[in-house]
Order: sequence, then C-alpha cells, then structure tokens
Amino acid sequence: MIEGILTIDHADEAAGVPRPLGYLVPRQSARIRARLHPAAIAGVWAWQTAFALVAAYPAAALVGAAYGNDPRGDSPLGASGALALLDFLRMNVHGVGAAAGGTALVTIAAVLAGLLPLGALMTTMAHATHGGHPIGASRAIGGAIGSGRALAGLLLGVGAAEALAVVAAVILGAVAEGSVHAWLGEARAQMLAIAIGTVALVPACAIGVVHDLARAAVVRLRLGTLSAWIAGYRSFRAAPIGLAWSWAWRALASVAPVAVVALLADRLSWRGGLALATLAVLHQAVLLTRVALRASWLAKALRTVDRS
Amino acid sequence: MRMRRWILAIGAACFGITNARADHERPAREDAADDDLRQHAIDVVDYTLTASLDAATHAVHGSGTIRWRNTSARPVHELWLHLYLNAFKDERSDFLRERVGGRGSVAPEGYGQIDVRSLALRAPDGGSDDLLPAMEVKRADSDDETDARVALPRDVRPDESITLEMTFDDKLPIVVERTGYRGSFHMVGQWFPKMARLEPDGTWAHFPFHHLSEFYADFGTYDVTLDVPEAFTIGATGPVVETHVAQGRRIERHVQGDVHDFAWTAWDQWQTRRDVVDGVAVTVLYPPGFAAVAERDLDAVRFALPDDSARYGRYPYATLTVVHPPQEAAEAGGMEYPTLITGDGPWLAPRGLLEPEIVVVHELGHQWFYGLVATNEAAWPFLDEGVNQFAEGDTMARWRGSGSAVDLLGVRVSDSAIQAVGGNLAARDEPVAQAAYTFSTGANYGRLVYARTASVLETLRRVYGDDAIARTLGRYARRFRFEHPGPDQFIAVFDEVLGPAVAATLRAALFDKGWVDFAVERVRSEQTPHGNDYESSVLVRRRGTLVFPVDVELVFADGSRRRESWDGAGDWKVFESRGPVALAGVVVDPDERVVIDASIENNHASTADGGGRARRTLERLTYLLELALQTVSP
Repeated sequence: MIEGILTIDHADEAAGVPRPLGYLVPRQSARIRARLHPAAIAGVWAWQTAFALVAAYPAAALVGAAYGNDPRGDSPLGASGALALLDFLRMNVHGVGAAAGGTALVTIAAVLAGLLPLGALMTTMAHATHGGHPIGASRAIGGAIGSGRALAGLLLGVGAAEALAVVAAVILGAVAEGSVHAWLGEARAQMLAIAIGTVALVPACAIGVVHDLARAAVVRLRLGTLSAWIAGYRSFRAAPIGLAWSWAWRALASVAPVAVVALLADRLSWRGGLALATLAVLHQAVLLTRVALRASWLAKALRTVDRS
Repeated sequence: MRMRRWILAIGAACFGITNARADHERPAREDAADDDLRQHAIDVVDYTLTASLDAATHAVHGSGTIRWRNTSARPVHELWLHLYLNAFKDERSDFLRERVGGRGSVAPEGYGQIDVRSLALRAPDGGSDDLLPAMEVKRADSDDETDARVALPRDVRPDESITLEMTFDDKLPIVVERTGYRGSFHMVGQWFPKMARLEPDGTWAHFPFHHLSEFYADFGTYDVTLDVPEAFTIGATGPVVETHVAQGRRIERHVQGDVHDFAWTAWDQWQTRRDVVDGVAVTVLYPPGFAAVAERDLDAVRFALPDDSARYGRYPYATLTVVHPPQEAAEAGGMEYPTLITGDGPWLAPRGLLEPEIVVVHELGHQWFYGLVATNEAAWPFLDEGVNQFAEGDTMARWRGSGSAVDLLGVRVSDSAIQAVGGNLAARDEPVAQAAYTFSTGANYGRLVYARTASVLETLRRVYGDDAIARTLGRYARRFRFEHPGPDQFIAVFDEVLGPAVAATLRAALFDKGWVDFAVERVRSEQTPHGNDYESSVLVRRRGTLVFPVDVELVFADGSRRRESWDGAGDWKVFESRGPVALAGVVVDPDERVVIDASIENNHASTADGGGRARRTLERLTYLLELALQTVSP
C-alpha cells in the first residue's frame, strides 16, 4: 500500500516554507544529505537498471538468436576488427531496426517514468517521520506521486526551454561561422562557432540548474509548477556561481568513472565469464556512483530552496 | 609454367612492351629486388603546355603542343582527344545524365567546360594543317562533348611522331568530381585536351567521361608552365624546375616524365608542410587550421610510401604532393594523379576515426595501381580501384592493426572488415569485372569494384598467407610497371605464384559473381552404448561456387579444442570424433580467414541448445542504455 499521497495545497503556494507532507515533516535543512539515504539511491539505480534491461532485451534477443548456439557465446561480436559484428548487422539490418525502435520507445517511457524515482528520492531526502526517522519507500513513492503533476509540468516547460536554448546555441554558432567564414577561413570560423556555441550552451545548463532547484521547491515547499519555477529562479539568482559550481563539479565527476571503467573494459571485456562478471560489477558501480552524485546535487538543491 | 612465361613474354613483346621478355625470364628476382625495375616508361605522348589562371573568373587559358608517336603496328588516320571538362558543361553530358548515385550525383552548383580555340598539325615543312574544322566533338546519337574525333589530313605511320599545336580555354565548374573552384580555391584536373590511348592493335581506347568511370592514357613527359596570381601557392604533378614572380604573377614550370596525367591546384590560402620520406620530397598543402590533420596525412605517407615501395617496387618519382582540400571543397578530396594526391577529412576529425589516414594511404597506393600499372580504368575499374583498395586495407592493417578504420573508445573496426561486409552486400548482383559505366548503380560499383575485389584478395591473403599474396601482387606490379595490363595478365600472375586452382577461384569471383558460404548443418555427440566414450559428428557444407580451404574447430565439453582442416573440395564434409569427452560445439573458420563468407552467423553450432543467450551483449547494452538514460532522464 502506498501511503502519504497528498496533492499540493495551492493555497499555501505563496508561503514558501517547508510544508508537512501528511504525517511526514520537513527534515532539518542541514540533515538533507544524500549519504544518509543509500537505500533510496540504490532504489533509483535499480529502477534505471530495470528499464535499461528491458530496453536492451530486444537487441540482446536478436543477438542470442544468431549466436546463442555458438560455443564461444557472443564473444565473436566483440572481437577486435569487428568482422563478425559488421556481418551480423548486415544480416539482421531489419531486425536491428525493429529492436532499435523498441529500445527507443522503452527509453522514452523510462525518461517520463523517471519522475517517479526522482520524486521519491527527493521526498526521502527532504522529509522525515514525526519521530525524525527516515520515511519508508511507500511513503516516498506516495510523496512522488503527489508531486507528480508539478514535476511533469516542469519537465515539459523547462525541458522545452532547455531544448530551445540548445537550438539557439547551435543557430548562433552557425550564424557566427557563416559571418566570418570568408574572413577567417573554414577551420577558424568553425573553431569560433564551436566556442560561441559552447558559451551559448551556458544558459541551457543554467536552465537545467534552475529546473532542479524548481523540483526541489516542488518537493520541499510543495509548490505548483509556476511558483516552483519562480522559487527555483530566485534561488539561482541569489547565488549563481556557487550553485553552478556545485552542479558542475558533480557533473564532471560523474564522467570520470565512465572513462576509468572504459579503459578497464578495454582489457577485460570479451574474455571469459569471470571478466564479464567483473565488468558487469564495475559498470553497475559506475552507474550507482553517478546516481549518488546526482542525489548529492539534488540534496544541495533542496537545502538551497530551503534557505531561499 | 615455363611455356606460359614464354607465351606471356612473346605476347608482351608483340604488344610493344620493351624489356618485358627479360623481366619475365627472371620472375624470382621480380619478387623482391628493385635493381632490375624498369627505370622509365615508353615515351608515347609528351605535353608542353602553359596555363594561366584567371582567379577572378575561374578560367584557365591554355596553349601548347602535344607530341605523339604511333606505337601501334598500323597507320593511324584519326586521333581521339578527351575533353573531359565538358562533362560539366550542361545536363546533356553523359556524366550528368548518368547519375546513378555516388560522387557527383547532385545537381552541379556551377557548370564548366573546355573550348578548343585552335588545333593544328605541325607539318614537316614548318607550316601547319588546321585540324579544328575536322574535329568532331559530338556523335549523331549523343550530345556529350567529352570525346572528340579528329580526322587527320594524312596517315601517321607506325613509329612516326606528330606534333599538335593548340590553344584552349577552360571555364572551371564549382568544384565537382575533383575539379573546379570554391572561392579562391582551385583544383584543376582533366583540364587540357588529352590524347586517348592507342592500343597496340591500332584501336583507340577512347570513351566519354562517364559518371562512374575514370581514365586511361599513355605515358609521356609533361612540361607545364603554370601562371597564377602572385599570392597563390601552387601544387602540381612533378617537381618545380623554374619559378619566378613577375608583374604580380607567380610562374612555375613543372616537368615530370613517365606519367600519364597532370593536375594542379592553386590557392591563396594554402599552408605548406614539407618533409623527405624515403628519399622523396613530400609536400602537404592544407588550409589554415588544418595543421593537425595535415600532420596525420604526413604520418600516413611516412608509413605507406616505404611500405608500398617495398611491396610493389620503388616509387620512381622525386616528389609527392598531398593536397588536403577544405571541407567546403570536399569534392576535390580523395583523388589520385601522378605524384599528386588529394586527401580528405575535417580539421577536427577525431584521432580514432582514421578517415584522413585511409584516404592518403588509398590515394598513395594509386601511384602503383593506376599510376605505374596503368590499367584501363574505364574498362576494368577493379584493376585499379579494387586492387588498390586491397592494398589500402593491407597497408592500414600493418600500420594500425585491427583498429585500422576505427580505434575509438575501445571499439576497433578494421578497414578490411568494412570491405568484406560491403562487398557481400552486392556479391551476387552483378560481376565485379565489368566496365565502370555498365554498373547498375553507384552503390554497386563501390561495393563490387572496391569492396568485393579487396575482400576477395584479403581472403586469398588470409587463406594462403601474407607472403604469397605479397609476392603475387609484388610480381604483378613490378612486371607491369609502366605498362597497361588487363585482367588476364593480372590473373596469370596468380596462376604462376599460387597455381591454377587459385587463379580459377579468383576469376570466378571477379567475372562470374562467385560466392561461398560455409555452414554447419548438424552437430551431434552421443555416448556409446557400452562404455564412457562419446561419438561425435559434424556436417559442414560449402555452398556457392568458390573453393577455399578452411579450418574447422571442434570444441569439447571440457573446454579443449581440436582443429581439423578441409580443403573445401566437394559440397560437404563430415568430421567425426570419438573420445571420453562429449563434443560441445563446432566453429568453422574460427580465425575469420574467408572474409567473403556470405554469412558468418551459420559458421557455428552447439550440441546443446544455447538458449539464445547473449550475456555479453545484454550486459554491454544495458550499461550503455543506462548511461544514456542517466544523461537524458530527469
């Protein structure tokens, strides 16, 4: 049974203070720490892994049909040189297309459904029981469902704004290249375009940071979409550099384990069952680490809207 | 074998190939020693030209002479001149009407043409006969103007030489099919009236500029004086022998013997990188900002030039120019001319994507398979593009190993794997060995001429060994250096080195849509009624028309493996085994030697149902998808 499902009380939107969520109470701001909620982090990771498994299954089944009875397993597909892999793609071009379509559908569904574990994680970090204990999974999910409409509104609205910012950056870069091409030449004009495009992407990143702050406002302050966006924007405006850095270092840090394991995978992959198991553990450790870093940033966002 | 050599030698001598008999008598020395390499081509046609570039109007004003010798055994009463720039004159040219896909298939942004203003035959008395009125540019059934017939006022006897005097004007197109301009960038190929080749039997090998075909010409000396604006840098066939600047113009004279074409480029933005590689003065011309990719081009030359020289005979010229065009003029990229090649690739190409290196290695290989071994590219494109495609993949593999096309983020894709798969896409559609202009589509031309030829040769290399194929192609390249061999001469060398069976296989693959598919039909392993032994058997089929020996690997339940060999003869073979360990499965061609196998998926089977599991694929895909999900999800 899911407990604690409460819709947002719009009459309280303007209050801008942490609100009780049914019989849950706002956790003390200083106690909003991702490290205090390993189970919630693991839950988000498990959710994502489950979706990824479902998304990967059609393609894996296709490979299994072709290589399931090979005494070497599907290792020839990973062999250096990629002859077997390219041949497999040639022989199964339609099947691969269909599998890719299925994977894309599951991935889109996963993106939309991802609001639930996100809301649950943030609810868990932001609230406690009256006794000060961590809330359970069912209450966290209940909180997430209660915040669902506002979070979905933010996803659509702010997501569109982020997409527009990215498109604007690309257009700006293209215009810059076109205007200086004759003067600087092809390569230098493109370098300038990339530089300008990269700088123009900063607003998109900033919108992303505001998005997370607005989500924190939804969960922590129980605000609706528009009020949460305003609260998130005000929070960001109060300390843009510090917040940008808080977001950026975690984003950069989440790339590092991917790179490290990629180097290790180059040595381990496709060499027997033990190597495969080792690699699987390493891969999942990377993914779990990235979820933890994301949770750490969301905790920071919750603390920030609290202070603002 | 001796008789065959004599037949070849006599045939070659009859076809006007000097020194051929002596070379054929020493096949063993042909394989490695360059001491006996022919030093020069038979000089058939010499061009002395001047060309002045008007960079504002993108016009080239040309004049000069062609000295041509009748090397056939018959008198000649007409000449054929190729006016290939007219391929871009209007939509009625064969080139633009034959858009069957591939490069040059989009509508041209701007047209170009060549106008012959004067053409005269120099008379022995110092006068001249005007040939222009007798020049027939169009045929009755075609509006194409790339293949001109010139009636002569008198016959040219065997071994007699004549001299033509001419003036012509080029209007360059916006760069298309490796010629033209973009802004102030100029790549000038197929720009002058060029003699078709007269075959030894007295027939002219002339043809319009077809959409998919390239060229064919006699060897000679090109003495070309180029006149461009002073700010422009020139790259051209052959070394600079004179240069000066006068009245705001840069004038360079390039002279190169033993070649059969001349191309040049001029641009006021060219950057220059020079080095000496294997005794050859190498110049890389590249746009501003392309220094890193130019260095990659040079690295490719540093590896491939000595490597190709060792395998196919020493590079005989003093210079090599690599032109790396800007991407806005990418139509100029990926082309070969004598001593001048064009590269390709953006300035920011990741180092793990080896397109720039592959293009340079490919075009450099053409210095042998097109340049020195000057086959008819229109009639038998597989002899230049296909053989050279193999040479490219072979060289890239020696240089960069299994990641010779892609070596990025742990993914390694070999050049030869791409060729093998590409070739199999069209292997049974139409023959490899056909004229370029008879292919049904540009895609099939690419898949068959380039990829299929390369993968057939790669299969022979993997099956019969690197040494055997290196010896075969090395002998072919050395024997027919400065000559114009056809498919029969090519296959005859395989016959000499590897035997008639291999030659027959090669011929079937090239001419008869030959194919092969090894497949495991059945695998069994059962315990004997009385005892602990297992009786196992495997049925392997060879489908198709090509025969290759192949390894069959039996995999046992305890993990042990045993290799069996099958010479590929017959349609099927059963492999049997008896022992204390059950057979778990079988893999045909475990080392992937027969890369043209029509399907690799049916090369294996297990005694037990594998359950359709693909653990590694599932693990890897799950990880990658989860990473993607984390990147785009809330």
